[in-house]
Amino acid sequence: MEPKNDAELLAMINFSKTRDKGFRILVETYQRNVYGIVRKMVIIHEDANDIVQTTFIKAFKNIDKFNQKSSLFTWIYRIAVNESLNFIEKRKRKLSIPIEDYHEKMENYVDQSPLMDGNEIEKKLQKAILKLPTKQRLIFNLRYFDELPYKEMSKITETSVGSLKAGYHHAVKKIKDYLSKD
Amino acid sequence: MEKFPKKNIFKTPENYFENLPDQILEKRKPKALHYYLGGMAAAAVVVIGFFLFNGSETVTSSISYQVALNEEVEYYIESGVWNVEDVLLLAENPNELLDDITEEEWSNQTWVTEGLLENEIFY
Repeated sequence: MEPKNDAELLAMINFSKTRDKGFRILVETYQRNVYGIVRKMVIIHEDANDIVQTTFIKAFKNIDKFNQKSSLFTWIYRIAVNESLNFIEKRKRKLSIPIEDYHEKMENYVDQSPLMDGNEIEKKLQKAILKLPTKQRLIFNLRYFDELPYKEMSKITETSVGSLKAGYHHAVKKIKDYLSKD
Repeated sequence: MEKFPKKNIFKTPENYFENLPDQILEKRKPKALHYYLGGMAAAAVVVIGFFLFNGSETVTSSISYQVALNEEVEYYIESGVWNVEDVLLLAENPNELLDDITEEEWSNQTWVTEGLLENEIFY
């Protein structure tokens, strides 16, 4: 029997005989959303794939610590967001790869990878988003593409609604400025 | 912003989402097995060490020899001379052991909380 809500899915996971099936359903339910936000942050499919797998493995290992104060969606999204930001931070700290080179790598990927779709305008928007600081980029992606309410974003990013609104406003302005240059 | 569509321009390899759950669920198994093999290697070292050094000279030489043995056993496992079946055959109850190790690994993980920083939102 398929679980109808978080509580039923958690009950499945907590019962040893249905645990594996429960975890499978968890991945199948959230994999596209998780991949979506991660990929928009790290751009490169292989990096996104690693982060998504790590996200779900961390979720499995810590499911007993999930306090159910938020939805499973919010909880898993938060893990994915943290993993993505940590990944980017590590890239920044890697002395052998200057951050400019990493950004350039992502921009080139947008232009050249067969795993990128979209027309010139859509690619240009992605490259404009890449110019933003990481946290603003996250806020913009969550709001503009995923259309999450600020309240939900607040839970995911552990940031106040006011800060998120201001951050989004800054991001939109910068993107408009960048796009209006050409 | 209005003129930009919100179309998802990120593509995935063919059947990516169909295969991803299996990949994630499978990823845990070799790790559990690795711990198991490590445990078996340690057990093998103790047993071999016991027979070789029972009543022999010094504790120091026994320890250093056990370290060498440990490395040798690990080498056999890692290089594939001993495969999974070989090591499992050494145990009386391999299935139970494997279940215990898997269960322990799943329940003993420490949760790393990495909070987000607000200070990069404005600039």
